[in-house]
Amino acid sequence: MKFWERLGKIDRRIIYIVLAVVVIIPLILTVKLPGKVRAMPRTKDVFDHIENIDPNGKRRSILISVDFDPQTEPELKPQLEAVVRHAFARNIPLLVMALPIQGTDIGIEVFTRLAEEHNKEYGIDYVILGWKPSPVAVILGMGNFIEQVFPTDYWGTPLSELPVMEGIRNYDDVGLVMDFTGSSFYVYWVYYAHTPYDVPVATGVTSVSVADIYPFLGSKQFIGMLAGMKAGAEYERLVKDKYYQDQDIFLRGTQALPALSASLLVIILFVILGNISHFATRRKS
Amino acid sequence: MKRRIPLTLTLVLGIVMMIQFFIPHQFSQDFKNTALEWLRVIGGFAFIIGLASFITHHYTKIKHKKEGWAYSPIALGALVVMAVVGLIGRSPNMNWIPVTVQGQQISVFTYLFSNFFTHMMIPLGATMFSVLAFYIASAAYRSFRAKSLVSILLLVAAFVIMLAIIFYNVLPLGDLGEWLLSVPNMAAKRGILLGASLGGIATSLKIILGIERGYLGGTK
Repeated sequence: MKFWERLGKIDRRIIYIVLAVVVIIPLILTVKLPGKVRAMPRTKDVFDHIENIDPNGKRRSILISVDFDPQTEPELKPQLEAVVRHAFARNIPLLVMALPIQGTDIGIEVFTRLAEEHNKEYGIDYVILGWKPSPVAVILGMGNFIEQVFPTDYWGTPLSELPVMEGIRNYDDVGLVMDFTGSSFYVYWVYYAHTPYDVPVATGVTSVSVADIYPFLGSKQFIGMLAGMKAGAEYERLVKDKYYQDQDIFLRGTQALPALSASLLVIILFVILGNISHFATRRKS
Repeated sequence: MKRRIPLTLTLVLGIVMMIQFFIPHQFSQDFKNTALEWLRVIGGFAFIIGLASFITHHYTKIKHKKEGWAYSPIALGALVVMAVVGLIGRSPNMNWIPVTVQGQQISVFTYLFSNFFTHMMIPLGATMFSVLAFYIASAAYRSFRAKSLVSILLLVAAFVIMLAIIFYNVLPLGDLGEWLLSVPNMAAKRGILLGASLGGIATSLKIILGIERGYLGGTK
């Protein structure tokens, strides 16, 4: 087999090994890319919106819906953690729920850890509402009265007994619904929360879903979007620069970004090699 | 009769819920809230159907020793274990077999449920999803060839988006990637979305009016 032909028929196992190496090495060596991550406008929109929420005003709370499962956790967790850090730094009350059942445990893990880190107290600064079946009925029902859908928190304490819920009745008291999802749950929040109740909604999605979100951004149905792991790193940078400049906090997305960049670079290189081989062999034939 | 009742219910409730949307009166809102509660209750029943289907599927596989049947007992076992530790561990006031974790006394079932999820479900799920990256890399190398004008456009757009992520500090690339997503991509996506929405409305009307009956099961 000629060189050009071989170039177009590289064994898939070699591709797998090269990709594994370029992903693992930056993660193990904690490689840092030069310069600061520049926040894209969509990420900045979410940050600015949360910055403008008055923790003592009418719409003072943020409803966070952890609508992802372990499969997409590596990409979405950095976004979730960065937004939670931001809200905790601004003392904004947080209501946490999930539309898929697995999101509940991911939410509990993240909030328990970050609350301890920020000296926040359960029931006063945040509440885990948990999960209920039928996403459409849950979202619509919360527009009327949150306690009607979630009479108790995840552990069975009546919501009326939790200080964090004081003055929070429905979407009228929510400054932002922030949906983190690895599937299409964001559509439910647009259709059944933003459209009938006019509550501001933003979403954090995986990179593959980004293109699908743009029509909703164009129509201002989403106030902003966090797109993939890169947006997690962007948001981490915004939050760190403003609130944690002197603190050494773990930036999950920033740490993973070199591995993501390296893997994309490898894919580009292999695609270029494939095309060189294609053109070289075609010209000869 | 078996078909007439669900068809009548669909017709009546479909029309009533459509009218309800446009009436802001309290009676209309109360009706909507009741309907939503019903919806949540019915949603709960879907899990029973899912559970029954899961058990039947794997039981049949084991019984007839179908291909890959050896995995079925593992699936059923995992279901039983997670259900038991979850039901007991997550029930309030059921502090059975307490263990001390980080200075706190919790039930061993709570401890197991939490650990099964954190140390088994999460790594397994993440592993399955990350395997996709290897398949995508291999597939892109083999099939992403500039054979026509359309494929060249696709290749260039993909390169711009990927390079915008890699070289995030190089301004023009990031802005070019943003333009690609917010102008040509959005135009195409809007068209698809509008088409799909109109299709959805048409299908809903067909279901309400009893023209589309596939949801009742069977072909007749």
